[in-house]
Amino acid sequence: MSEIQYWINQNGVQAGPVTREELEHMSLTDEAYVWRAGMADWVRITEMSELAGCYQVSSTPGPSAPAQPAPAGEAAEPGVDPEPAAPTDDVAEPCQPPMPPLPPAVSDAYATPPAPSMAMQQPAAEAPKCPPTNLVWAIIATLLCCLPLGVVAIIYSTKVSQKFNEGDLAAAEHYSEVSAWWCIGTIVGGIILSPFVSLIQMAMMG
Amino acid sequence: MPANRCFPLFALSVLKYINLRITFGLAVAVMVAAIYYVFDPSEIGNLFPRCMFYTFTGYKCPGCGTQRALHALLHGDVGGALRFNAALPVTMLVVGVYLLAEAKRTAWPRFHMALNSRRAALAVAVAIMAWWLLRNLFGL
Repeated sequence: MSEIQYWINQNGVQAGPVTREELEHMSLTDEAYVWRAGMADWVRITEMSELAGCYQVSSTPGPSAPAQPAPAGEAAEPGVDPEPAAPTDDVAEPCQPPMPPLPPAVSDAYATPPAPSMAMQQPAAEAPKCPPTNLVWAIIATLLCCLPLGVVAIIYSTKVSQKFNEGDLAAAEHYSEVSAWWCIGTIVGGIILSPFVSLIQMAMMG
Repeated sequence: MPANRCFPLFALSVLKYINLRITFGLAVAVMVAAIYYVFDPSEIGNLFPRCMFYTFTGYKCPGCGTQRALHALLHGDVGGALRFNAALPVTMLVVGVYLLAEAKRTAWPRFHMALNSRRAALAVAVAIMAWWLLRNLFGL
């Protein structure tokens, strides 16, 4: 059984998935937010009893310890239990829990409580994975085909995981698609155009 | 088995034990290998695709010589393969590693993540550009 994986959001910077062991080395403060599969929304790390001792208590004055544990713009639909943690039979890949909902925007000015999270477009429990970067296809298109345009596909590939790590899933999917089209265009274009190139070459040689 | 699946979907799900993609990929690979084993792309007047970049600019592209290198490699001529396109053996290795990561994505998520990270992709891009430049500068 794989370990539980957590997503972290501290000062607006999101990271994850990490295991508990890695989390301990991340020098988190009690300002951080945590999410793991089975939870409806992000909570302050201080509220996760299982993570007690994994963070440092920050020195910022505590009176305004922002309550409102999980502001979450109604991620949970009324009747449906969001993300049942029950051991359903075919949960898609335990190693890659679903993309957590947008974290609450932790404002820079300390002492103010975190603003409520932005309106969620998608309910939780969706789109867990990083979209394909198509890097293999880009390499094949560049080096094993006849058009060097595959380099463009590689450049777009770099943006996929970058955007995904920034938490911008929509952009990641967009770049994934763009790089896929460049791969297809390069390979198909190479195959379709090459006979004409051969003809031109023959014509030039006489 | 989840009961909420309709029958066609269930029937299709049986296919996942055969793993169509791997079967199809292997079939294509064997076919390509057979073609490049039997026919020699360096013969004059053949129908193998030519490099457009080379035809129009006179400079080699990063993939120039791949077909001849493949032919040489399939005939056990490693030196010839390196002469036609020195990047081919490396590329095949890299592609193999990437395919492995793709197949083992759920088992080794971190391996997959590392290979698809922005840094890795940039490294690939830079390597290809460098190869492109070097082979034209030094006639590799």
